[in-house]
Amino acid sequence: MIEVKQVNKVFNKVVAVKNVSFSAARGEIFGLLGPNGAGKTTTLRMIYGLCKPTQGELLVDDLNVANNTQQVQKRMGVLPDGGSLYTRLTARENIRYFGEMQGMSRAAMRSSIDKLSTILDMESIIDRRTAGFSQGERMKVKLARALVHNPDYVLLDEPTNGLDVLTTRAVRDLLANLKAEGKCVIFSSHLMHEVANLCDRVAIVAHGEVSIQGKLNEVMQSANTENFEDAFVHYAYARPEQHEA
Amino acid sequence: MLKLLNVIAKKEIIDALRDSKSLASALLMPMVTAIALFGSINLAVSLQTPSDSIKLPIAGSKNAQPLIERFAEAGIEVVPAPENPEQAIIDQQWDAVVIIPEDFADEFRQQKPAQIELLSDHSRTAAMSKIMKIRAVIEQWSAEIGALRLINRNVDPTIFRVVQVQNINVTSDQRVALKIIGGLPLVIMLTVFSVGIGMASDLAAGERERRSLESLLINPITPTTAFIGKALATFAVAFVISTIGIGLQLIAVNQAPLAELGIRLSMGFGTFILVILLVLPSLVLATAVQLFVSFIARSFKDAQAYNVLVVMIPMVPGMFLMFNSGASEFWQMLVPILGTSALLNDLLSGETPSLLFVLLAGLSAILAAVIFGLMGISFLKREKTILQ
Repeated sequence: MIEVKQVNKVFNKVVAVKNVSFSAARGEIFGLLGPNGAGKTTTLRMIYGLCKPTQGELLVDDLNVANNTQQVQKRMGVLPDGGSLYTRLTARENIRYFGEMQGMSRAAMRSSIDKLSTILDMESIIDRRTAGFSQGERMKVKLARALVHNPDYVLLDEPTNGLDVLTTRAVRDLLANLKAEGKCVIFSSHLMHEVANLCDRVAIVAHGEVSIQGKLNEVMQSANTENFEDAFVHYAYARPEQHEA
Repeated sequence: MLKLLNVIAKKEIIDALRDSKSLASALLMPMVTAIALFGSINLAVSLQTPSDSIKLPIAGSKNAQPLIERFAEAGIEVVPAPENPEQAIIDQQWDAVVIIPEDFADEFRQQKPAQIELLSDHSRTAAMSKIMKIRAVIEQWSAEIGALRLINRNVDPTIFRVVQVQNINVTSDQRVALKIIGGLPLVIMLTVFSVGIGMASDLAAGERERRSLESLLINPITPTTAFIGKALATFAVAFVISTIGIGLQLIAVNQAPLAELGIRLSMGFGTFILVILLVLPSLVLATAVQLFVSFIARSFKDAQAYNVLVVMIPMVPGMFLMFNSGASEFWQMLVPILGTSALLNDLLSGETPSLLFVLLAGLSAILAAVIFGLMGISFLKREKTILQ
């Protein structure tokens, strides 16, 4: 269980995240939604321990992230916003590097890379150096890198950004599989149809605050609409005001 | 932690070895300096060694036959002078021309100072050794004739000598040799400080610029582990390249024709190993400084620009020692780089540096490396560094 409890984050007097609380359990896909600059990435960064909250606490399996960063990071697979691959290494070497840092054995790593390579349809590129990879190919390698150690918690910041239809479908299937395996997935996205297809529950963040959270149909009901995108626009661009669906 | 350090260092080394451009440019500098050393020693030797046979055009040689004979005894071949001696020197046909005027014989007989003109171009340093030799022969002959004249007058010629300076050279041959190849210790230190620049810039500033630092630190490794792992990789690659570079530089010096100056210079495999051991702590310091500077820089380009300034660090003690040559002193050991540079001077001069000095110089460099390492780690721990 990931628990975010009344978390604030201030950068040089700028409030990036304000009193954010939500929780995500194993076996569910939780969508963290909001317009650009709403505070999604900062919130995710606090969950995976690269950013310390100014106030509040974040717990992963009851472990306080700020005090047990490495232990928490061992349970997490993260696809951060942006970032790049090591272009002089092959796709396999990129993935293996992260697996090794997670302390995996060679055998476990080999089978995990083979499995991910099949799921993400990367067999033809797995032993190629990543310089010159297309955006979709780079995203696949980054996803595989995040998942190689079979983490219990998966945090994905805009995982389907710039992907073609087939790759998007592969990612969608992968997330559904993760959920079926009892993993907890938190992902942020701009693409509302993705969210509507995948997420069990969502939190919509606007101006650093959670404006509403709950199940998809509850959010839509609360916004008096049957279209999730309309509900998103309603809460993401409204003035900050807490709603509970 | 050891396992993680190994994982990070291994990845960085593979990454660096595949960056053929950076690797080639890192190797280029020590190779070029080795060739430059070889060339400059050859040049220095050719400037200082008078050529075997000197041909000297003399106008009016019949006017001073005994002097002409003396030139022949000294191995200087007298040839007829060109028509316009001055122009011949300007045209670089001759380095020097001697003109003995018609009245030389008369003045000589009357025991007056007889004039001889020695024409040469003082701006041509390459000709100076020849001219010195010609002048020495003339002066020697003049002194001998003068002494004979005094004996004729029953005067002891030694009375004419107020002071006799005796040149006693107390330095070893090798120190004299080092004077000639004075730049070698500095070249070695410059090699140590330059070979890691490309790699340090890439794996620190490059990582920040590509925004892959965040992805790296999402893994269960601390910034300390990341920094030390990267430092180990840089050190390992820089060590191999500087070992090759220093080896080439010593070979270049060994192959240079120093023996023509009558100087014996022994820089065998033992010296090579000792030089490498001596510069190891400085290599650790160079790595720490370069990595620190590269993490502070926002881009690969900035890091390279800053690191070029880092290369200047060993220039200061190097220059100091070039103008203050002599055996190393205790206080120098307490200043990182200066101590090692001074000990390199000693070692290459054929002296065995004291173990205490070696340890102190090493310790001061390592201490400075630790300080830079800690500053680098604390910089890497800042959220701003990781997230920007």
